[in-house]
Amino acid sequence: MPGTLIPAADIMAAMSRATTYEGLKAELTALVGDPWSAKLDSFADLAAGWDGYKAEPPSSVVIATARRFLASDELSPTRLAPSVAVGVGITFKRNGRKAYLELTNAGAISLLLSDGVNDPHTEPVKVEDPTLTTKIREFLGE
Amino acid sequence: MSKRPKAMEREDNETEYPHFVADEVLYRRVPLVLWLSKNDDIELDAIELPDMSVGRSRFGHPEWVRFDVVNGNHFEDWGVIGFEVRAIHPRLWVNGTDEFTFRPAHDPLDLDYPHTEVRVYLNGMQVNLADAIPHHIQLKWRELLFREIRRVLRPYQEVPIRQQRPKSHHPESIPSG
Repeated sequence: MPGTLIPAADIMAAMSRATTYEGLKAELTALVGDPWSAKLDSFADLAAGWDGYKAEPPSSVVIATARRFLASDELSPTRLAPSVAVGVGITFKRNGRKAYLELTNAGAISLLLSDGVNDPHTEPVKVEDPTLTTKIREFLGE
Repeated sequence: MSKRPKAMEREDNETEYPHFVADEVLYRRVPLVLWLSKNDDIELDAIELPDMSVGRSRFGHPEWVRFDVVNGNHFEDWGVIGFEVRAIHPRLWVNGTDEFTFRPAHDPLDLDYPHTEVRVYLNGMQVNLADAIPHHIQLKWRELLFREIRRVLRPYQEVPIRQQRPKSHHPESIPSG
């Protein structure tokens, strides 16, 4: 639970149970929870006009879809934020490159791939598409 | 809460000033939730589509856009970003036939004379971008603008609120807080 101290003994026990790196990650994630989940939950508390203008908060559908996407792969975002374009923005940055996935309350989901210099590539996507994270990884050079 | 400068208000018989020069700066407030830390930069999620409300440097200072005159708020801790008029990507073609053009329009409010909107026009007629252009194409326009944006006031940056309008469209140095 956010803000709750985890006893050192629990961490040591989790470490001793794990026999592989993946196992250790799973044990620690079970202890501390999904770091992005609480942040996504906080978006639901935003009021209309949270951006100081007219933006609505991300809808529960958008938040759930973003959560599903983040849980589907271990690709770790560098930033997760509500979008002033009304939705959620998920940013991945590596090696001077950026992949940005935006999900809107209106139901649109788009991916932008940008190296900051050349014309950015954008396309509509589906979060269920198994090639989506592959595309992001390849662009970022992972 | 600090008091809104009287100079922000529209004076009697003051109409809009429709002319913009390429290096005039447009300012926009950005809420704290979009700055992950004091020194962090913003991302594409902070970039609005047209119609996008901004304040123009010819008639206002960056700290003035921390005042929300519509709802009577003063977001004194929020960051402020800015971009020059020339940074607005002027044109997008969709389907090879529809020409969308983007430009600032001075839209003075009684309590906020510098208020301006970046608007979009389809074949010369003003349209609502969210309805008119597919989302992934909107993203491209926002990214091109984002690349030109600079941070003018950091979140929590304290600055004295200037009481007089700027002398020209060239941004004046930020007074120390």
